[in-house]
Amino acid sequence: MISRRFLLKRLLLLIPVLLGVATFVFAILHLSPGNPARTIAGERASEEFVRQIENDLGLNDPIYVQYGRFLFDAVQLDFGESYTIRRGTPVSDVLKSRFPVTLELAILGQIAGICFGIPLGILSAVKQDSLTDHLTRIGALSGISVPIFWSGPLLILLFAQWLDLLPTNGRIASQYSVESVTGLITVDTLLAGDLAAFQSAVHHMLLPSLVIGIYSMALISRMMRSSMLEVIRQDYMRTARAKGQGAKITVMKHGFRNALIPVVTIIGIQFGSLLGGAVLTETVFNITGIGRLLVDAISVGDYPLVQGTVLLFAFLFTLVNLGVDITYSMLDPRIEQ
Amino acid sequence: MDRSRSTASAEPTRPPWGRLGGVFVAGGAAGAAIALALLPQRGPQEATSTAFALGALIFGAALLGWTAAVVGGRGLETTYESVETESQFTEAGARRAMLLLCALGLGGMVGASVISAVLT
Repeated sequence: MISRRFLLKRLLLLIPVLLGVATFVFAILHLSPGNPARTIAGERASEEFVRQIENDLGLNDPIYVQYGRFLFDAVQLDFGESYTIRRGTPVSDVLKSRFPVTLELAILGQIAGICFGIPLGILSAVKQDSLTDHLTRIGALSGISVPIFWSGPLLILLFAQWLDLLPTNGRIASQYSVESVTGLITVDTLLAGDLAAFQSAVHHMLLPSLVIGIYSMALISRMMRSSMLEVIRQDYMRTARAKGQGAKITVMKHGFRNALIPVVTIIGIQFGSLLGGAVLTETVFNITGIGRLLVDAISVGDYPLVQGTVLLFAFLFTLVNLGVDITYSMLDPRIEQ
Repeated sequence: MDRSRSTASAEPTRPPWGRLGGVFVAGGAAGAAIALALLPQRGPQEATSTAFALGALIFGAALLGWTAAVVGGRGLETTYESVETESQFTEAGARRAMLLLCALGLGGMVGASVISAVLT
């Protein structure tokens, strides 16, 4: 059971993290070259028109006023309106429509990483120095080393071009139209009870989630292997075996829970890089998520959209780490101390 | 574990208020100086914005560093202890260093704001 004090402390720490990220992003955007008003008005617009836009956006106000207004609005989840990509649309609306796409991709990638990484790590540890162990380690090392912009096209080539098994772009086949409830296409198709659409959605999401999950899978399997090896050598494991308990039961009943603690940390940290990986994966597979939105917003200098997206990423990352801390203390209550 | 506790307990637990105040004032002076130095080239709006943003950059990064020290500082301290790196790193020390940087950045932001208010 988690103590209230521990939970409250962790929740309160969200405030300085978000304030730090917000301040940092505000500073970077104000130090970067370019004038948002000029971006909106266009290169050929007159100085007078640009000045008018600056006034409308409050860019002529003293900097401390702009900073205070930004923080005040951000607390109310108001990040202003998009300057360029969806001109005049509130940033929160843009994020609301695009965020579930990236979230689904990250969750599916993480599921792939956990589902393959943990069993492979255990197998590798239990069969130490066997052919299985060597192959798993080589696979994990390759997975850690290969970047998404290379593994993505490679898997497209294998599964889409050569084997013709999986589609390479979009989230669902064009003949299906599903009403958006959660924004997660696999969940929405299930809620609609349309199994053919669900199958199509899963079919479309398999390749991108596999690509985004490769690194996670490799890291989790490496961590699980070394953690499990350490646990296997403990006295209590030897005692359990000496009492006549089977190898499988000893590993799963006594070893698994203890070996999982460092792996949980890795899963939490991994989620951040999954969000980062979403930027590349969405570009490779032509998926319109928040990662691509961030790249587009940076390239055209859409300040409010950049600020909103980065803050959302930071919030999600800190929330996942909070979840990791809670899981941590559930696995080993001594950690709360 | 015991060794790390003894190291941590040797550090003062209260924030160094006197030094924080001094660093805040120094940061304020630096922020104001940067704004004034940029004034002839860039004009009041851009000069104060740049000085404020530099302070905000330090403040934001230090705030994140402070949180990281609070969350993971003890773990890092224990790791250094267990691998016997002879490191002088302590969670309390990291927190205090980050607090000083926060004060420096915040001072810079306030200094630039004062110049901005005076000029406009």
